Amino acid sequence: MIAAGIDVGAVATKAVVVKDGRIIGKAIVLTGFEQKASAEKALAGALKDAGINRDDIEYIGATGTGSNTVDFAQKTFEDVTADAAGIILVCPEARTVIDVGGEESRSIFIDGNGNVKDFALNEKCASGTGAFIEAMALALEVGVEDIGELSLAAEKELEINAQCVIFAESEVVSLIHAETPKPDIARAVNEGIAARIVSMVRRSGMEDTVAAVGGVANNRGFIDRLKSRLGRDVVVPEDPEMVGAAGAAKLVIP
Amino acid sequence: MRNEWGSLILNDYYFGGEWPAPDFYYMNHICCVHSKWYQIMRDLDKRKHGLDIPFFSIDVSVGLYDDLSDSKIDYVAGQYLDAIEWMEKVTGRKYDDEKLFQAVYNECRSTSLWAEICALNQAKPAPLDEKSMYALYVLGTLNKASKEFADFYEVLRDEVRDRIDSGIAAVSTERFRIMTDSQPPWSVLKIFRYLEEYGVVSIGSLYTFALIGIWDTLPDGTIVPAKTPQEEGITFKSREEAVRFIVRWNLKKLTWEQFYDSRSRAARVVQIARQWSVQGMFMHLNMGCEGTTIGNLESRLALIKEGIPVLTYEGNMADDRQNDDAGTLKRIDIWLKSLGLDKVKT
Repeated sequence: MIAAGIDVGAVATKAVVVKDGRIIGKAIVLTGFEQKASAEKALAGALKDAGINRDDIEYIGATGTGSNTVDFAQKTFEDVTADAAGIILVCPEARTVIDVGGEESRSIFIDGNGNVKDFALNEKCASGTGAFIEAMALALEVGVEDIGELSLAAEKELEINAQCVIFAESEVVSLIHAETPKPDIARAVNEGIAARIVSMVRRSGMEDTVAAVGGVANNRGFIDRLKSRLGRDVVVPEDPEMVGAAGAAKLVIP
Repeated sequence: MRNEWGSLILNDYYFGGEWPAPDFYYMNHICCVHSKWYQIMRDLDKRKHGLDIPFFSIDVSVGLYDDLSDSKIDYVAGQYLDAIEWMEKVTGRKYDDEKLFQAVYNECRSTSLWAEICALNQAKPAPLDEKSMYALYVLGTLNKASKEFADFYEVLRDEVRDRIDSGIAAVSTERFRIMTDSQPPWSVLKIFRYLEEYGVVSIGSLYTFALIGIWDTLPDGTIVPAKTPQEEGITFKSREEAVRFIVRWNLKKLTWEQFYDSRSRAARVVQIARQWSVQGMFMHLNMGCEGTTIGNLESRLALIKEGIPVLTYEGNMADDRQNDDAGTLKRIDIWLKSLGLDKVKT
């Protein structure tokens, strides 16, 4: 049985094709303003990657901020539900899922079948999300994809005190003017976001194995700070940003 | 208060006409902002209209009712007795003690009846939903000492009893009972109607039950509507007697406990959950009221320990710019679906 899952996120739209519980194709595109078009484009990419045609797909499930625009999906799912189902596909031992996306972050406590036991979401605030890192990367004049590696090269432990992205940006600018090395600032940025996430994780409850998903899980500097703050290992599955889409594909199969 | 301040500053009353300056301001003070509101009114009256309006504030913050002593009652009652003499002085009118007696009887009747109405919501299905209760308790906040409002609550109590006897539910598809915490985000009360789509009824909250409702606590922690002086066969013969009674009565107020001790607050919330057969808590982390939110996260932990799931959401009862309507509905969807509920098809 072949199913596709599409996760229309605030920043990126991801699509996967799942056959017999295994991901056989995937694609990611920027979401932009035309969410439905992005969903179509991502799905086409995933089909191409899997080497199959649209007609081969029996079910399509959608999740994410723009899931309601995917009118060709049979069913839509909440991000939390999709993450919980998706992680079981790629990391069956996971019981705590930390998903840090472009504009949302969430912590989910699940059982062995991928059912949600409890969850916590970020509030209406950019801190603790990918948007925070993007703003800080801009202030540091580095690519958002480089901030993780940069952070790992830090020699000093600094703290960014502000929790608000706007004030944190001013703080970063002040550190730049004080000629603070960029790696130290990058580490402080990741430390700040990890602190926010950990306080959220503690609200939802936590049990090993802890897995991190979503685009920000690709930031090794953030994962390093997250492990340090949690005092335990954090597993990052391959293609962590695809987990929600994989969950939608799993859930849509009756 | 923003309406009051705006009316005063613009000299354009929101009910029409010019700002109707009062003869005096008179407040009791438990919350950190209440007396300050009216102090600002007084200052604005002076600055904008050259009026020197007298202001009297009564401090009622004497601690938990369980620790109440005669000296604490003396402290609060003494201020009320002083206030009466002060009112006679600033108005030049004689205080009518007979009206005070009637006001105390009426206030006790209104506030005990409201507690009784809330207690009736223990029935399954619940005869009232909290969104409707918000509209009903408000009379008691405006003038609980009036005979008309006390009579209204008597009629309402009978109506609610009748609903129970006839099996009339507030939410016809009731299958999951929740309680809330703190005031709701007033501008988005539609969230309660959204909850109903899942067959969820909110039976009330510490806030809704006890902002005006007065409760007695039995030795096992059960809360029951407080007994009125009429029920206890008490007839007031002196001003001091009536004042001391109403002071003791109001110091029972459960919504005042949270100013002193988050553990007491948490215990009350758990008690309500048990008595009203609550299955979940929908908790507003209300940035618009320090008083009703202080200690609510401790209440959350106590409920979780009791095995009752809690969904929190940030918002603001007074400033809707701090509400996230879509985000809140999304949280509800995730929460209820994770509890195994889907929307009810009607």
